[in-house]
Amino acid sequence: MRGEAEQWTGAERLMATLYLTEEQTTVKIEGEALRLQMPRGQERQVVRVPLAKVDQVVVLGNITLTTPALQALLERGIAVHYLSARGRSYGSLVADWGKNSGPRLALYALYTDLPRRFAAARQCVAGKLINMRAVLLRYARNREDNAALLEAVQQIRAALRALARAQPPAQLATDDRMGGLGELFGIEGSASAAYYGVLGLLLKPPWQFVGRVRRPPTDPVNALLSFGYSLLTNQTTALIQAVGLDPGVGLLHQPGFGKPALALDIMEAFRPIIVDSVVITMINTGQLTPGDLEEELGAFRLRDRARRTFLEKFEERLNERIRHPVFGYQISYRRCIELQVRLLAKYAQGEIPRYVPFTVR
Amino acid sequence: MHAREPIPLAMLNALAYCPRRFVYEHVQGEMLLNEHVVEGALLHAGIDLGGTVWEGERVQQRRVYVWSERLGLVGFCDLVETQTGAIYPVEYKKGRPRRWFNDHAQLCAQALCLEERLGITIPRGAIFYFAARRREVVEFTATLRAEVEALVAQAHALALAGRLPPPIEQRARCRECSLEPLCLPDEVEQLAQEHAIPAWEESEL
Ligand code: SF4
Repeated sequence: MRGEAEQWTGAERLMATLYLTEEQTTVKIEGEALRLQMPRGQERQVVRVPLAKVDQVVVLGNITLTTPALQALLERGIAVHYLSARGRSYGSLVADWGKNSGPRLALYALYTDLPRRFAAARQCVAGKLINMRAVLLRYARNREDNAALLEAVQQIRAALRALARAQPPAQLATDDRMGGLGELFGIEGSASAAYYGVLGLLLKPPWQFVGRVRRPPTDPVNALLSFGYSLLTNQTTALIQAVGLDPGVGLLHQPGFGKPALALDIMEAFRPIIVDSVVITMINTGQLTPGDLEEELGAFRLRDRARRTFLEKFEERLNERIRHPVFGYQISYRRCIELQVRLLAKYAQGEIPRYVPFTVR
Repeated sequence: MHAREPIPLAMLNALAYCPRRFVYEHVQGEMLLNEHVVEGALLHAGIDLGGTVWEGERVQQRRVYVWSERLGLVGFCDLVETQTGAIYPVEYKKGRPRRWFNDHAQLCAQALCLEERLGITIPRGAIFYFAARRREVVEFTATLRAEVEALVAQAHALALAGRLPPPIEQRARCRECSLEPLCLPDEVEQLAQEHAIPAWEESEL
């Protein structure tokens, strides 16, 4: 896997995702290739990336793509994601939706069908809980002092039992701001608290983690998690758009301004096994040190070199091939996410009776 | 009532191959670009230029627009040849002659359109397979014509209903189908049998 990654200063093509990371880079189109012009001081380096080798582009920071370059990318259905240097998403540029409105309409119909929507939302929560539990169990097996971990596993198990019993309200109160899903949010919240409460125990000192803090992350581990979740959100959003669904209409997550609610639904199950495990592994193997993050007014960000390593590990994880838990064949995690999107569309269209979450043992 | 939208001739080929594929491509506008599709488009590019060539007795017209009001069909013939009074359509396909009858159906539908336009009878046409580099002559028998008429009726019915039919039984076709990664025939079949799915609610957590 490593061997396939090509690297240049400020631009890494890791498998099919082109990450543009060098500030002040200009990207033009030149025949069938992108021409990346690095800023002065970088020996005015020029890099050419064949379009055929790119599935999507992630732009981190102040980088310019010319209109012809963007047009060439959109023409080939290659999405361009704009992120801040910290990983906060500004949005994506994607090719026009096809005429495929059937799945979208089915999704909207599902959104207003509370029992069926509740069932799918419950599966999204279940996927997350089952995979959080799997991550903790994996680490608990390899250590002596695992009482706290096993305690958290018990709490997650209790949450899963409660989840199995949860029922949608027979009638939706007009002032129900949770859209009838309040119980699911409660269960998800308590299990997540148990999980994040012990996540710090999995990290080698001096790394510390006391709990999840978002917007802005006020410690290095939260900064790493947030960065990883942003990348995962982008990947998932792009896949949803490619399938032709509306990423803004979620089943568990409420639609909100600029929120890719459906992407958040789908990725719940993938957070622990993709992002959390990459963060834990990088920390414990010394691939990241506390000095790789710099503090800026109380918020943390990854320094350039470390960010590059992080992107590389993240892509490696997405491209890692595993045996699919339900279908039994070997596929990459990235294709697993795509399959979940397609299965959700098929559930919305009534082709399959149940949305099955992606879970690992 | 909706006015009946004409069905593109190329979509008949998809339908003859698999009804689900027809709805994906014609109704939902799905098209996965895999190497076969791209290669096919490149091979076609040479033919798609249009124009007429005279070669002695033989007149070749490329990329001829044809349609049938009676059947509600529209599309292009890659090539229409006229030789000593006889007219016949020629379709170009990448690959080799195949076991499915979809290419034959598409060609015969072209002939039906030409017949309606010109008021003649066209007894046969040909398919040129690039990989085999040879022409296969196709007789437009009464049986083939009846099959094509039934296919056209089915196309209009599916287009009107808009719903995805289930995956086809002949999985050998799925293995050669560019839409398999989104159609997921095996996966849908497995998940449609609810009892076959491992459910976390019932498992020993
Ligand atoms: S994969 Fe099989 S069922 Fe699906 S469209 Fe192709 S041929 Fe039809």
